[in-house]
Amino acid sequence: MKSGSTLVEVLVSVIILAVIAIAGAAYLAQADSTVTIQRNRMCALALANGYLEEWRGTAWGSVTNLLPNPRTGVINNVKRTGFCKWASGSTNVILNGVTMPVTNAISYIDADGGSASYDCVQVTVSVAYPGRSGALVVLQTLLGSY
Amino acid sequence: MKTSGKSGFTLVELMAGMASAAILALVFGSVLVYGFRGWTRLRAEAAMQGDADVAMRTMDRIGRGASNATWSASTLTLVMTNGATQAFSKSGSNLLWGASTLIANRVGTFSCVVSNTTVDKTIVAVTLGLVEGTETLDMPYSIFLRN
Repeated sequence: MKSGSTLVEVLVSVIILAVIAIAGAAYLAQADSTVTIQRNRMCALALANGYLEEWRGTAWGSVTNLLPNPRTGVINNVKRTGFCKWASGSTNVILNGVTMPVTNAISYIDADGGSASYDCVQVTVSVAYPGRSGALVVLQTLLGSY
Repeated sequence: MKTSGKSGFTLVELMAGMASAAILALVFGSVLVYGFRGWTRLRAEAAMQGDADVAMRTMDRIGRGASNATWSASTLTLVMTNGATQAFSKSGSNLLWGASTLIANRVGTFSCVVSNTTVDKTIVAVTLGLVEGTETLDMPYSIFLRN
């Protein structure tokens, strides 16, 4: 009488082990994707913060000149040539080989309903990055005349 | 019962066993190689992002107290509101704050553009290029200074 495993038993074992290995590979692929997304998000955040710093460094008059007179409403997709050294006049920034579309929006806030003394401009910078659907970094700041 | 007296595997069993072993070795070998590469990349990314974080936080903390800046000979010099200066420079693969304080040690490139946007405001835009093994990371950083 022979003892041991039959061919069918061996094949079933191989299939089970292969499935386990493939599941492990899928897990590793997911981990790799998460690292890439985290890297892109960190770069997008740094980029958005850089844009905000440049807005903060812009003269009040230059900011308000971007708005129509009377200064109301929101202006989306504000474009300024040479704004932000990474943009090179474009709204698509390529960082680490990844294209990140940047959107600048500004809206005038009439704080006291008349006088311009306390008015300010709200700046919203959005940077999209490759990741899971809708991956977006949004930062806002308020700029005043003072 | 009459037997031949021979024991062992048949040719079919041997071939099936070898094929199974080859498939398993291929699958597990690929997973191991992929896993090792992923682990290496993860370590490199964590190291570079950690370096970038420390460097940017340090420059940010110092820069908030600065009123002007200059960029010369790969050295960023921040002029503080009290007139003192704080310098950031690349030495080899190290980014140094002052003469010897190490704030990043995987630096491939350190470049900066200082521009005056108005009569009283300056933008300092830094790009920190980090390298770890075959992985690279370019990290942008900007700060505005009120003169």
